[in-house]
Amino acid sequence: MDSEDRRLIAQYREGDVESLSTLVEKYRRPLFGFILNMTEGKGDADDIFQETWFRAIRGLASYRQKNFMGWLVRIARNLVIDRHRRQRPGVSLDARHEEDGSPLIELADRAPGPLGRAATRDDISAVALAVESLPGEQKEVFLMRVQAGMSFREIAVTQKVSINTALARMQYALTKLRPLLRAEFENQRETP
Amino acid sequence: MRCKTIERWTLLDRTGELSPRRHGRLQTHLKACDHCRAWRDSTEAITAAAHGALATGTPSEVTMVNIRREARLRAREAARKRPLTLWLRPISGLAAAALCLIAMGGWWMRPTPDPFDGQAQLSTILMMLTEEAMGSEGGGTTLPATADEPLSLDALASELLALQGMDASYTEAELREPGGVPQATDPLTRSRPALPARIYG
Repeated sequence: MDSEDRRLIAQYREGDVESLSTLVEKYRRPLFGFILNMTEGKGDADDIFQETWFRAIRGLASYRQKNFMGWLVRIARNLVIDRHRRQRPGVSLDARHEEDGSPLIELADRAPGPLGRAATRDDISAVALAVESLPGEQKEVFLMRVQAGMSFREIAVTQKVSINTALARMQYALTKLRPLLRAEFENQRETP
Repeated sequence: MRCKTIERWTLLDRTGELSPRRHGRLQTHLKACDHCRAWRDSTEAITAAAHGALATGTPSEVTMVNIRREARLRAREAARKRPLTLWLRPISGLAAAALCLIAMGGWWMRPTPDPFDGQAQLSTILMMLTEEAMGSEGGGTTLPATADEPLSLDALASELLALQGMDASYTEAELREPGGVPQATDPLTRSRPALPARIYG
């Protein structure tokens, strides 16, 4: 946790509400982006974002973690999983397995499918579509790394797996994204 | 070195989680391996493309207002509890210190065990004295009870007095009277000369 976060949390504990508003503002975009990419649409993302902060505010009194963003992402992830379980009860988490042998948990309900969603969302790019097509755990690792800026150690702790499993999931995600995004990154390589 | 390992090291290097020693080995490998260099470049390109293209958005204003309201509410609750907490801290500390003192005092003032283990020790002393008397007088005495079969305390006391040459019928006043009946000798320290041993039987 950077010193600014530590200072803001300490000030909020002392009763300064404005310092919490600063924290919310600081992490608004990356946290909401992570939640938005893990859920079905803005309504769900709004609910989970709000509940994440409610829980964070309640837990701030006893907060001892090192990475504040990592902590927020962990709360948000648990809420996403809870919501997913409520929406689809009886889905066995062991039914399918990923290539690295870990159980596949489909965090976002991709019922309409990426292409179907793309038809309803004009702003979605090829990259976002490709990311959305990743299996749940790989997508989660990719988003935690790219969008939330978490380290692999933090990702491993969040997913309750070893750091090697987290790295393997990222490798699989990149391997799947590479052909899908070949045109995108070829363009990027050409532009200096 | 396997390129699969180098790919993982490349990922860890980006997050600053790779040790300096491995960082050096990674750089050496990347200079020599076209495949790993291409993998690193494509990974960086994908990450950069995703970073800009992933849905970001912002939460609704209602959500932000709700969060601020919750923050104010919790801060107010915490402020109400704070004075109590501030009072409780020294009180709980003092209570813990008092408990420690009471425990230490209890240990210090605990009853010490009686070094004289009553009948058993008295019986042993009596046996020693009897054996001594038998040795000096050439026998003829009745052995008192052994330590395994202790006599009653009164019986032992009278035997002890008899061995010291005194009659059990003497009263305590007579025993204390200076110049009267001779004082009993301490059988352990023998601070006074013992009277001639009385022969039993």
